[in-house]
Amino acid sequence: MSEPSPRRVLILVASGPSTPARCAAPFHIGTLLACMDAEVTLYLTGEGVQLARREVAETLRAVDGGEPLLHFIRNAKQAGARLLMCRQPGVQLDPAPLIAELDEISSGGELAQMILEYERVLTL
Amino acid sequence: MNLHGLEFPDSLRYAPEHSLWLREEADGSVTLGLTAYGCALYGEIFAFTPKRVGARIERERSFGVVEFAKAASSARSPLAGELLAVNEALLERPALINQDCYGDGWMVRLKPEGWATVREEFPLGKAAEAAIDERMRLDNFDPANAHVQALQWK
Repeated sequence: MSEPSPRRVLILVASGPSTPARCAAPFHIGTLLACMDAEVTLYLTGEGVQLARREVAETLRAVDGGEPLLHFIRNAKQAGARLLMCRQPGVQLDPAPLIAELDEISSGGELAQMILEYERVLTL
Repeated sequence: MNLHGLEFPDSLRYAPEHSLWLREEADGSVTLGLTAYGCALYGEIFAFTPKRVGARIERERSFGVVEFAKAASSARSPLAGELLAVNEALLERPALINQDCYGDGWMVRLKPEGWATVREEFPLGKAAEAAIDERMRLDNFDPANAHVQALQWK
């Protein structure tokens, strides 16, 4: 049985500070998928965009006493995942308060293109 | 051989860059497992998820995922081959890797491709000492602080 070539997985991260318990899972799953040789893109959209703010990433915790979200983001990045964030139309963005782990700020059109091209799309 | 308090059996071959040991089996297959050094870096292993039996593993590609405290890491194969067997016992008891990494904690068995060509890339026993020691030096390995180092380890 031949192992398929690395598959591309797009994870839409739509959870944000209003549901902290849901925020670590997309990055942990992304880490595991990247460790299994999948080409992983984590895409922050909707409320998930807030997770790219340094003050949020450094303080938000999925469980009390657990690691801050930035820990999970760094694990995913170290495993090889890409981290993109949706550009909000008409909103001027100051990149200064954003985490350095962010690879790119992308448009909705680029997201649509990825959805069509990737083998797997998850929303978490 | 003992390096910095960690045991490395002389009967095994080693892939120091991967912190793996390799054992040639009578049927031509090769068994892979994590070395005591790899265990020291990971700390307590919570899960090992191998690829499916029958999968073709490319060199430097993942044959599974190791999950440990607060992180996960790809278990990369130092050689290409077909995955013949996985250690089913690890699915229930992944801590076997920590408890008996050279015995019951073996990870996978491969049918290697071109083994005759590549086997000498994996030094046997004592011959691996310098390479393992160098790996530890490059990792700034501190046996007293290995668990913390695991978080930065690839």
